[in-house]
Amino acid sequence: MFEDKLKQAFVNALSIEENEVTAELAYSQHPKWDSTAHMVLIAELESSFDIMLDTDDIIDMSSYQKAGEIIQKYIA
Amino acid sequence: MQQDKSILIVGATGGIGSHTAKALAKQGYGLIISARHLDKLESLKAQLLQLGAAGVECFVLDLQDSSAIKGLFQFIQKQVKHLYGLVNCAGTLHESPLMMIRPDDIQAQVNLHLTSSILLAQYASRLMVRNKQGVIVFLSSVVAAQGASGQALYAACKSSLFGLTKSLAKELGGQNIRVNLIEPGFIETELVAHYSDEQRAELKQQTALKSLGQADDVAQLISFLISSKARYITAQNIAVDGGLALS
Repeated sequence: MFEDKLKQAFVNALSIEENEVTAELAYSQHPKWDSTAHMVLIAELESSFDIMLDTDDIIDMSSYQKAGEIIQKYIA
Repeated sequence: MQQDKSILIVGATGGIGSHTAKALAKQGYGLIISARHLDKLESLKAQLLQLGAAGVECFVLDLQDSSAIKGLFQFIQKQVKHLYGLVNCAGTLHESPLMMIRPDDIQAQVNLHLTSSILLAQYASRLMVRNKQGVIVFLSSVVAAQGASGQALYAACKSSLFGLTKSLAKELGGQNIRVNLIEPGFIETELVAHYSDEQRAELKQQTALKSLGQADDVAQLISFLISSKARYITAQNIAVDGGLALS
């Protein structure tokens, strides 16, 4: 459930295919995950999980895997 | 009616803030009003509901406490479906000769005018991006561009909002978020209540219109910039000063 929700947030925010969302998906490594997309991604994650991220966590959110770890902190 | 759009007004109980809130209430917007004193907020809330606001939420906030700004947006996230606008009217007019500006004064003014504006825009834009639309209005002063003896610190802080506005307009434009800056001239509010009659008369003579501004003069421009009539206006700094900038 959590994994599906997280993956869908990335698909929506970055406008990419589901099969592109892997643990290796990383900020500035994928052509669609640039600084503008990062802002959209943060908004999407906050909306999907009904949370408000700290700025340090936004800066640290450098990959799909890292995003999962960070979001878990807020919903635990 | 604009009941599906909520506007956050920070510094809502001051002269320009309260007039802005009233102008937007008459158009049926939902409002989140924020200031330092709950009693003033509650009093304003009652007036706004009578004027036609779709809803009014109050939040007590001291902008000197940067960490409290996150709390404001957590509150908005819970209470409001769609944050459409941010108007930052908060500010104090710091007047002091250069030799008498304390380091603490500098920090306090920077916190109040610049740090808070950046953080408010940061959090607000994250909520606006969800709906791919939004409007941010900052308040500066004609003093920012013209300077004023004894207002170096105030002018420096207010002029910083010029660069902030232009940069955010570029950064957020792709998300359909407009960012504009208003530069009021001498507006008759509590901020300048200590000015003498002689000072007022002198300032009046310096304007092209030979009159002093009212808070509602600024509020009407803010209301316009918030509206869809201004959908193609962003990255602008607009004076409301009766032509004071010409002097």
